[in-house]
Amino acid sequence: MLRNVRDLVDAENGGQTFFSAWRKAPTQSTAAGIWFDLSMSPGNPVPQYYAAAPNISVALSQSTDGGIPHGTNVAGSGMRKYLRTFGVMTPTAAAAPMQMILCDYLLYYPFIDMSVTDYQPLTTAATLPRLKDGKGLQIMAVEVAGQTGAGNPRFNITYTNSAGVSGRTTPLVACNTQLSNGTLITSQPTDPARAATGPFIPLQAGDTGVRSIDGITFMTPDVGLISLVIVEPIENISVRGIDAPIERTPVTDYADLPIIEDDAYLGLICCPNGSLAGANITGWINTTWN
Amino acid sequence: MDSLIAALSAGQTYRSDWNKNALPTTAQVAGQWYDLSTGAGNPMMNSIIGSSANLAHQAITETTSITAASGALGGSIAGTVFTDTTHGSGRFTVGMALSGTGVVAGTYITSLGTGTGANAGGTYNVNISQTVTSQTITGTAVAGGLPHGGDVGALNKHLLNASAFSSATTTAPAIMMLYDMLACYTITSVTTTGAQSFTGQAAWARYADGSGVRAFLVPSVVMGAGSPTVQLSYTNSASVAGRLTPAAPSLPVINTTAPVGSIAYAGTGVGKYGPFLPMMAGDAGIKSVQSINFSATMTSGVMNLVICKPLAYMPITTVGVASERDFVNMLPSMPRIYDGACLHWAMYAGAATPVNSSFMGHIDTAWA
Repeated sequence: MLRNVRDLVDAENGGQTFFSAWRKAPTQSTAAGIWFDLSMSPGNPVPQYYAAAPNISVALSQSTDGGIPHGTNVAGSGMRKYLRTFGVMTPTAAAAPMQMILCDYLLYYPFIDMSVTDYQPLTTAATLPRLKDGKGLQIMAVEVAGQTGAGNPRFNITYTNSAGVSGRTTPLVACNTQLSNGTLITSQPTDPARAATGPFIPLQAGDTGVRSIDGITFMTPDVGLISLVIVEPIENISVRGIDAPIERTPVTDYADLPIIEDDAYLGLICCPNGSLAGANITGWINTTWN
Repeated sequence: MDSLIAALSAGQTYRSDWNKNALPTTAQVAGQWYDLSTGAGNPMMNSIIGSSANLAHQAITETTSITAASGALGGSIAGTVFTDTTHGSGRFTVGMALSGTGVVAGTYITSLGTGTGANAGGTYNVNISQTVTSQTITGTAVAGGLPHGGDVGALNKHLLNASAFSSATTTAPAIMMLYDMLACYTITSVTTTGAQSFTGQAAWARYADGSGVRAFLVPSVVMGAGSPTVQLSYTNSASVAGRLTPAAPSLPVINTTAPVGSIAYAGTGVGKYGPFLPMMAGDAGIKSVQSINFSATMTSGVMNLVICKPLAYMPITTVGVASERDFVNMLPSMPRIYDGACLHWAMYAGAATPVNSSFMGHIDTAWA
């Protein structure tokens, strides 16, 4: 565990560090202000598409699925791994300004049919592989087969919270009208009756995390499929322009060192200022453990 | 801070400007890592890589040199082509300075012809047109690191700041990594499968305990067809032997026909890593290497295992805009530069980078 700057310096001088560069080149057309899941875009690391049996949970891990490399497991050595730096840059004007969040993707429920208006129970065959109590975990709804978005379909989710209480229900959220796969479908909906939600679906009042998802109910049907993904937001960064790299050093920026769990599957979500089709988004992370 | 100001006031500082080119014959691919040490520019290209005997330990400092020679009456130059008609000793590499009776001073190998280092009859292109009749021609390889101010003995030298920029088109974005090259193992037995043991082992001249030391593979002669997995056996910085490149999620996979200067397993997809070979869980460095195992033939080419210590990195976002690191104010601050350090750059291409694209920058060091 890093307790002070001396520990940090010693850890880095001791080689307990890992550097990883990443590059994403989305092919999907995105829109200004609508969050997008870059884990579904080509580049490095290779994309993943939430492809598995419908409505049954699947866990994601670095050792089996990839993601942005962050070094090997360290808990077995009695250590803990931290995010030291997180940087990004892009020469693509349409991308900036752009907010990005580095997430640990833990569990997803694939191919949920948006045309079904009955309650759809979801099966938690695989449980959270990390952060098992669910504290701080959020749900994002990722479009994996194009909707029409007509009528701003609304839905809510029932889930088990981080206190282990099942039957918790999210507020009713609405879908945006974006058609591209990878869209976080509840961000910036045009339904005036529903507030914009950002990347994550709001939880029931008082809840601070999600342990599993129990089911989903669409109020109006649409074509299309979504995957519900449970993630841990780790760190955010803002690309302000195309003429300078942006680097986050949590220890000096926030007096904080976000923890990277062993075998975490790291990916990025972003909120661009326009279409990212053909964009080049390149960055890096640096981890340290002690 | 007082010590730093005193050192700077006393002149214990050194500025070194550099200019290195991207690969000379093959455009760099977006999403891959490259070793710029073998690129043209200033400092001159590292010709040590690829010059030593098969699987033999070659320690590297900024002053290391190594020779190769044609046999007696076995070498000649006609125009800009040097022919190693009868090979004598060592291995010729790109960047080697040539000498011998009648050889114009300043002559060096600019690129490979049919030569692969030690093949009799192999040809090499040189920079100065001339006619040299058959005789012994000697090549001298140098490590070609960035100058950083010479040895400082009992004092400690540190990196204060560094910059990198490029004015060539489509070179951005890129990420540059400064490293200290510690050793190299040339691997000519690239058709051999199974574990191949390294020879002539010696402790690293710097970072002898292996803390923070990493390894990468880079061709010095373009590789042939074949995309084997590779697994390195090493001793970690805690002196635990028998450590292996982990097989999960995948062993590194060599890129088929990997060009000279490319990190051979970097890129996008399963089995692609960069820039360094993965290590086992919990390992923080490489103290020594024991063997390397390719799962299948690479048909031809010359591969090199390079041992290094990464020191710093910096991004280049925009063509024509300099990127600078201030290591005095970074945490941890001021990476140490050891006496004899052989400093080179690796590069992560964020965009397709044309051949011979020029990158420039500087480093500042100080010691006290």
